[in-house]
Formats: sequence, C-alpha cells, structure tokens
Amino acid sequence: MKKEMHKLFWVWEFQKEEKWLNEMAAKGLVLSHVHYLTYEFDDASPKDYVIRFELLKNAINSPESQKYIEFMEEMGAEYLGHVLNWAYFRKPKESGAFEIYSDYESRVKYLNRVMWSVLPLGFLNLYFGVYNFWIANAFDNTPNYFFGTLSLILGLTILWGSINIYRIKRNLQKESELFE
Amino acid sequence: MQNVEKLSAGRVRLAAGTLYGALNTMQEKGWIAVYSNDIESRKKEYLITDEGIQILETEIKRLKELLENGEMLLGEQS
Repeated sequence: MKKEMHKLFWVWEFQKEEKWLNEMAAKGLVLSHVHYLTYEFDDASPKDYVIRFELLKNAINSPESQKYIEFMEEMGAEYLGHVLNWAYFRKPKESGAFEIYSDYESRVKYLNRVMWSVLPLGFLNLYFGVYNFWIANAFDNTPNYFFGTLSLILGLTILWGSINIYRIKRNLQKESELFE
Repeated sequence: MQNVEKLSAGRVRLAAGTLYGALNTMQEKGWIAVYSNDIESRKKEYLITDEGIQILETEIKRLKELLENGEMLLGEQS
C-alpha cells in the first residue's frame, strides 16, 4: 500500500527531516518518491533502508548533476526524486552503511553550500523590509508597512536558520581540529 | 569503497559523495585518468597517471618520515 504525506521543512531543518524519514523507514514506511511538498512511502519494500538526501552543487537537470546521480546509483543507492536542488536517495542497510560525506573536509564544504543557498535570500528580505519601511515612512503608505514587516520577519527567520547551519559547521570544525 | 573498509578493518568508511569529490579533484589535478567508460554497465574505471604515481611516492615518503619521527621520539621517552 502506498502512503502519501505532505510536509514542509525549512532548509536548516535538513537533519530533522532526515531523522523523520529514517524513523518512518524504521516503522516500515520507506520513502519511495519525492516531489514538491509530497513524500510517498511504500510499505511493500523491505524495512531496512537508510534514507539520505543532499543539496546538489549544480542544477538538478545539469549534466554534472545527472552524472553525480548516476554515480550514486553505481554505488548502490536508489534515486527517489528531488525537490528543487535537493536529491533524495535510499540504500538497503545490508549493503553497508550509507552516508554521503564521510570526512570533515567534505562535510564542512557541504554545510557551506547549504548555508549559502539560503543566506542571500535572508539578506535580500531584510533589505526589502527596511526599504519598505523607509517608503512607508516617507510617503505615509500603509501597505508598505505590511510588506515591510513580512519581509523583515522572513529575513530574520532565514538569518536565524543560517546561524543554525553555521553552528553545526563550527562544531564540526572544532571537532576536526582535535585531529590536526 | 568496500576495499577501503576492508583494508582498514572497518575503521575508514569512504562515503559516496566524498569519493566522488576526491575522484574529480584527482582527475582535475591529472593524478588519475578515465580508463574505460562502459555505458552499458555504467561502470567507470580509472587508472593512475605517471604524475599520480610520483605524488603517491612523495606522500608515502612524507608519511614514512612522520612514522620514523614518531617512533624515534617515543623511543627517547621510554
């Protein structure tokens, strides 16, 4: 039986999302397909799968990304679909541990990629927020107060999320310094 | 990937994304080259270039030096 779920995660909740998907898999609901806001689960497949997803470096339809997905498949992972530039994979547990990045250097690089995928949007929203407030003030225009507040809230949320990703990265870097 | 794990008795696990990055970097640096690209089985094989062997030899030399220094300093201690 197939089960469909709609759920939305912020970009900086990627660890929470992965945890949730793997908890679902442990319950016998294995992710089988992903597209916008939709997770499809399959309980016909064996329970023992590990789910991983990652933000790709290049656009999903670019030859680079296609090559990368092919490589993952060659390594025994099954490609389940994508949301924007995030690609989802699963791999049977019996074929060994499934991680995408295994050393500090590549993990830190990856976290940088995730952080920079949202940080510019945060700044852009903060900028629009302040700009709208300036217009509202100068021309006594109420709609601009409304849009300004909206932009500021969104901008601050994204900034807060980026700081969270930065913290994960900092902790990793501190940990890696122990081995240098 | 399995070979790396076996060689290191399970200590080192090379994940796919990390391996992909490493292969690309080594190829860009000219240390390895694509040997065969079987489209049917989608299996890609690489071979080590002369430059790659040279780099590998230098790295082994560097590691040997580290090992010798470590053993020497440990010997002085006890």
